[in-house]
Amino acid sequence: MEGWLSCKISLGQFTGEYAIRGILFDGTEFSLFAEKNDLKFPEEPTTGSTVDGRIRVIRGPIKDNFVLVTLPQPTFENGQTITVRTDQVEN
Amino acid sequence: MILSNLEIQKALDEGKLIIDPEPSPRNPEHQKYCPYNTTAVDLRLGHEISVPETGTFAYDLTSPGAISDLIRKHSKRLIITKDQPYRLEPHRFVLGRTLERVELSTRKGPPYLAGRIEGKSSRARCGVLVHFTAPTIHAGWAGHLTLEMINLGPTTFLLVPEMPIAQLILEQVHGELVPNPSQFQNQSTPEGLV
Repeated sequence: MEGWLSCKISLGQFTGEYAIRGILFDGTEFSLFAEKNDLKFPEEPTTGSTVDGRIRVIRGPIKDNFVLVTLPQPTFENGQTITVRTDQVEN
Repeated sequence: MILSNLEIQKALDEGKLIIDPEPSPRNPEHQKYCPYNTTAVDLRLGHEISVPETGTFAYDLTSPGAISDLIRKHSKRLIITKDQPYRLEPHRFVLGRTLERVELSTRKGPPYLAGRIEGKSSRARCGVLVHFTAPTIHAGWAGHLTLEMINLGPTTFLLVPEMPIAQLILEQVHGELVPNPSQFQNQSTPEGLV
């Protein structure tokens, strides 16, 4: 099932591409590049700025307060499937 | 099993493969370039180049954090045109992207498609590598393909937007897919704490 994971969004290397930062269930940071159609943000980030937004994920198994989610692209640090807290993901 | 040009076009028609804009013409026409080879379809260079800065910093991919931000901050985005192409000098490395957005959709069910992006021999003869690592495009991928381009030749190479830059080879995946099974293999619980 699809969901939207909270993240921080800034401009990427190409038009329509964005640099994404987020945190895993334990507070460890991850980062990746993603395309606009996989993102939701209230306002377009500008050069040097970061906005709070959400990135599209596919939800996997849930246990307690944790959920395994698959991101649109692999992260630099943890592969494409990561564990986050359930309250980080909204419908 | 590598898809033939006709099977590639069939996959486009069935929506298992989406290339936007779709390469055309599908069949060779008199004095017109056809992007379909017998077992591949050509992709073109987009209109932007990302040029990494030289500096004293180092990328440490083992250190969690804003690596994507760091890469972006230390690179410069350039728009290229046919009148002002990018001059890729010998021993220089830049990133580009395909003009086309590629999607290997899994929504239609099996058999799924995966792909490989490869350079073109005519570019290689000039000493230019257009994609030198991670050529596999996994089933389910959607997006523009990033090109890691380096000029190993002795002379300047012009990167002109919309020039055929790479070829996409498509293969049929055998079996059902599990999202990123390598992640699951090493964690018995969702939180990853075995």
